[in-house]
Amino acid sequence: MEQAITLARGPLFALAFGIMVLGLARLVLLQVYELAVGKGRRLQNAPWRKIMGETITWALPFKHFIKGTLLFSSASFAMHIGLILVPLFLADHVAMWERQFGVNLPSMGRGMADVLTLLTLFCLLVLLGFRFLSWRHRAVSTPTDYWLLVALIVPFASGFLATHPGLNPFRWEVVMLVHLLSANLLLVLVPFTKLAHVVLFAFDRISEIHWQLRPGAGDRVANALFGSEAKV
Amino acid sequence: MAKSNRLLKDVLWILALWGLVAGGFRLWFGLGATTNLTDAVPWGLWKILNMIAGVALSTSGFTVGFLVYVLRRKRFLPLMRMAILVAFLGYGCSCLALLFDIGLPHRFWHPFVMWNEHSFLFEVFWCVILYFTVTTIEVVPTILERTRAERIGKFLHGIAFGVVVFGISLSSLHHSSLGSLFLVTPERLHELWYSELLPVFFILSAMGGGMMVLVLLRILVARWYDPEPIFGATPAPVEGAESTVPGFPTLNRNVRGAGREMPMLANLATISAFILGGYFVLKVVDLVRTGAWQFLAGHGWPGPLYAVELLGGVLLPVVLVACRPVRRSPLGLGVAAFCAAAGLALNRLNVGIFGYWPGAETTYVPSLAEWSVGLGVIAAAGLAFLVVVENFAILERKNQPVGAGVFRAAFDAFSHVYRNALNSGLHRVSLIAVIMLPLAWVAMHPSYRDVTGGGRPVQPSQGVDVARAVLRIDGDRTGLSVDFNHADHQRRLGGDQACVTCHHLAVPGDKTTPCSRCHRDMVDPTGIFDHRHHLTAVAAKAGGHGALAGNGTCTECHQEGAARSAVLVKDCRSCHEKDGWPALAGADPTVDLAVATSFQTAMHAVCVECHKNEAVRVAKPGLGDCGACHADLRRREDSLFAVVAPSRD
Amino acid sequence: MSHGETRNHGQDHAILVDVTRCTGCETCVAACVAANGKDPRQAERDRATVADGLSADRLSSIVRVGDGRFARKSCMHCLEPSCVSACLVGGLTKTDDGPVVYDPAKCIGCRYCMLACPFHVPRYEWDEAMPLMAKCEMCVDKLHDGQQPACVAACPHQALVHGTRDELLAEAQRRVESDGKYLPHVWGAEEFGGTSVLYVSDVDLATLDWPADTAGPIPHLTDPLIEKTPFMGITVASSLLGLNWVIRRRMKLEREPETGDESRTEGENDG
Repeated sequence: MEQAITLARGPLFALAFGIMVLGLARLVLLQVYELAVGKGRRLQNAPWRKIMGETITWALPFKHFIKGTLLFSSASFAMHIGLILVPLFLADHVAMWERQFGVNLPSMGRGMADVLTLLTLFCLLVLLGFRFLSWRHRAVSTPTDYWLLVALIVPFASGFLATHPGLNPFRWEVVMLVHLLSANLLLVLVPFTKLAHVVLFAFDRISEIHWQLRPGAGDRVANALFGSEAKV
Repeated sequence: MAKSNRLLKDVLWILALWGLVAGGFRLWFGLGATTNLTDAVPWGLWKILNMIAGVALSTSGFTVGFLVYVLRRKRFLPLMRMAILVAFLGYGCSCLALLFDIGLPHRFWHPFVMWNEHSFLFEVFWCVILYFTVTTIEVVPTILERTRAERIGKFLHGIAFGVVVFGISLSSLHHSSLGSLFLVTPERLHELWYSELLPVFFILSAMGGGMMVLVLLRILVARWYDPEPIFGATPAPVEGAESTVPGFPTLNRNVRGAGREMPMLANLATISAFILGGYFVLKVVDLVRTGAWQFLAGHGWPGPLYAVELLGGVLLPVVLVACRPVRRSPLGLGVAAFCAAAGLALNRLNVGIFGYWPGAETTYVPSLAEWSVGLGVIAAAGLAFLVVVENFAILERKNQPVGAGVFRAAFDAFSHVYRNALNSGLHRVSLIAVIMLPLAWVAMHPSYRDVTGGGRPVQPSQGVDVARAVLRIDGDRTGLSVDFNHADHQRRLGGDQACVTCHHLAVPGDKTTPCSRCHRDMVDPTGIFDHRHHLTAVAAKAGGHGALAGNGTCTECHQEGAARSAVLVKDCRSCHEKDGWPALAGADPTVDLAVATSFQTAMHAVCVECHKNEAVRVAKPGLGDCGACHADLRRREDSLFAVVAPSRD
Repeated sequence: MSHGETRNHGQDHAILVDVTRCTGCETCVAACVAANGKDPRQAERDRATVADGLSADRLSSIVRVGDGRFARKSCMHCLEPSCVSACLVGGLTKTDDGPVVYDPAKCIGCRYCMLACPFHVPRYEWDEAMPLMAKCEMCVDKLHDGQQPACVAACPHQALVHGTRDELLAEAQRRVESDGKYLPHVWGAEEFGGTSVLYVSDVDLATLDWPADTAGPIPHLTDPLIEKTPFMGITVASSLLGLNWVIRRRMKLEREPETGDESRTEGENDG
């Protein structure tokens, strides 16, 4: 058990992290290659300012409030805070970053981390609830949407239990191993599932305008954006 | 009819990428950290497989060049470009692997200006470099064809005959010299392989085997790209016949259906078989002449290895080629050629690696990193070969890979972009790289060696009751041991605070502290006898004087005329009859140890166990890590290998 | 460098090892480690882990050659060294006064010297990223200053003697003949063409990789071949040209009665 933990925390983590970083780099490079080689000419006329503006508005929840998806949008937004901060800045994780890569990050307090973790877990459960209970969400959900949420819940829940022995009904080693393995799995999943939006969100607007629409759609979009004289 | 070689390409990419990582580690961490080479086995896989076997396997440029240009056998002309390509890539791949192998790669140019004309290695270096240049000159026209620089290519083609003659002369020199390299090790190389005829053996086997490699590659290229010249013009299978060999069309059994290049290949294989036959006879005669045949039945690996190499790798292909139906079928000829090529490679491995096992008294098995670089370089050459075959007129025409034209563009959810014929190769290769590079990194990085490959875990205490135990230490492993009173040493050195005094004398990486660390003046470093003290004491007793007093009294203890060594001296008890160490009286020596344990081992059981338990109890996993106590340790390798120097304040 | 021709080595620096006097105290090794500026702690570690105790940080060692018998093992400084003829950049040299010395500035790290040495003496700095070879150089700087090699100076039992090779051969012969305990053989007088380090002993020294029967100098196995190399190259090239000419001529003659034109264009194409 102890050896398994050492293995998961050392080489397996390095492996998963390496696959994630290289995998994301590959996605970015493929996107840029596609855009540069396939759409090089047209990109010159792309409305960069508008694209950036849209990307930012889309990422923030305020616009969605008005549309009446308040709970879902704010849960989705709040979930991301803990999702990004806790893996990076929890004291235990800071030690791990240092051991693996020699990087020294500032660390957050245990209390702060607990609050963020519980918030993230709560938001994830809310999102999962929406998927199950709201027919509108169920209609557009694929199986991946469900189990990716579970894959996010497991490392957070097991991590919380591992740091709170009083609440933990299981053996510490088992919980720790589950935490490590599920977190490693999550890292590997990032570049190969829709979690890839950690880097690809930046390309979404460009893609939508230029090549993710049906044949002929480009002309209509161009018409809408630049008037009837515009050519794609 | 042609079969896709996409899987093969994937495998080649995987090997090449692993080789890339391993090569990087080799350059960064050095030879010791990445290879299993030692002082006893200084030459390993890279030299033997990549250089010596690789060069031998790519002999075809020289032999086919001889047939076509010198003997003017024009029928082999269709093979000429491929033969030269094989030679170019084979030699290039040998040179590349050597850059990883030599200790100081940035000095590879030294032999150009620093000459030792007595060294066979020097001759091999020059011949290989010059021949590599020759093959480059010969390959370039093919690459430059139909480009703007075609005129350079035409000029190079114009001087081809002179270049070929030069190349053949070089080849005939260095292929035999590669054998001569091993002439200097008569007392190390196993008798089955050592012979003054090694240079002759090397050039004969290289000529024969090299042609077979070309035959094999020609058949494989036909299978992957354009089967017609080899497998015949009518690709329809024989009616109703099931293919007995998966992948090979049943048609091939029909000899008449074989393609127009088959007779030429059979002819080349026959020439090769004559050379290999002569080689076989010569080997057998030499075996009888030197009397080494008696080692064939000897115990261990050499006998069977020799038999497999000579029977399976030389005799079998000769016999196969001699059979007319086998020679005329692409499958039969392919099998014969494969046997000959494998036999040639095995011969070089035998001479360079296995033949040294009995002499070196150690078994050298190449490390993962060595295999990775060795095979990775070959894989890279293979990929380059396929690229040239697909894009340039190496054979009669360009060869597009199977399925190249039928690609349909589609959105690839896995890569999040459109995939089309233009970028599908990029998709595939980058995906392989994303998974393989980290995997290779983790599998071969020296700092993970302990976790991934056994390693040395923290040892629990041996359970010695140091307060009472008398340790029996046999430091030099002679069977003669010294009784070591631990409690007595501890008391005299300062009680509870004294552990560090002895155990921390172990330098980083040590597991043990030899007695000689303190008892510097012992006659035999691991004995316990203080010679200098006896010298003066005995001399004083015997009435000697001065610093040289002892010289007159040697015979007080040492026998007159006998060797003055520890064994031949008077028994201690003849003088020390009444002396006895009170602490030892009545104590039974209970523990046999080789040497005193290190501080790490002695103390870790006390600290580590408790730390681990507490880590679980209070749920602070960091408490069980080495870093909990050794704050200055960062990387794993430090925490496992090194003992922290004791703080002196 | 003196291959082939036999220089008279009588006045070379040499060392005589008398195994009967060696007590295995390793004082010489400690002196060697210090004289070569090696790390004594690493040397100590190598003593425990390497079979014969030789390493890049420990250029000489004490080997147990029999029950209670020890012998110093180090470079034998052969009169016709295999390593010198093997090194492709000439990084190893037999100096005119005996020692075989190494030039680290030339070394490319091919390790052929390690393969070529019949005594397995050259060692490699495996742990370095930029490794060099290491071996005993008989303290050549001390010799030039008129001093003895460090090991000889340090030996407390006169088991090591320094002198010219002629003197020491005579002394070895004298010891062997005068005292019955010695085996009647001076190791190094003839083996591999003779060495500059000589051994007399009362036990057999096969442990030190001395050959059972007197073997000749190793360069003599390769020199006759390599001297012929330029000759062979020229022979091969000229016979290729000759062969080609004959065959081309024959083909031309065969074809000429039929079509004269074709053979000419053929010739042009081959240029």
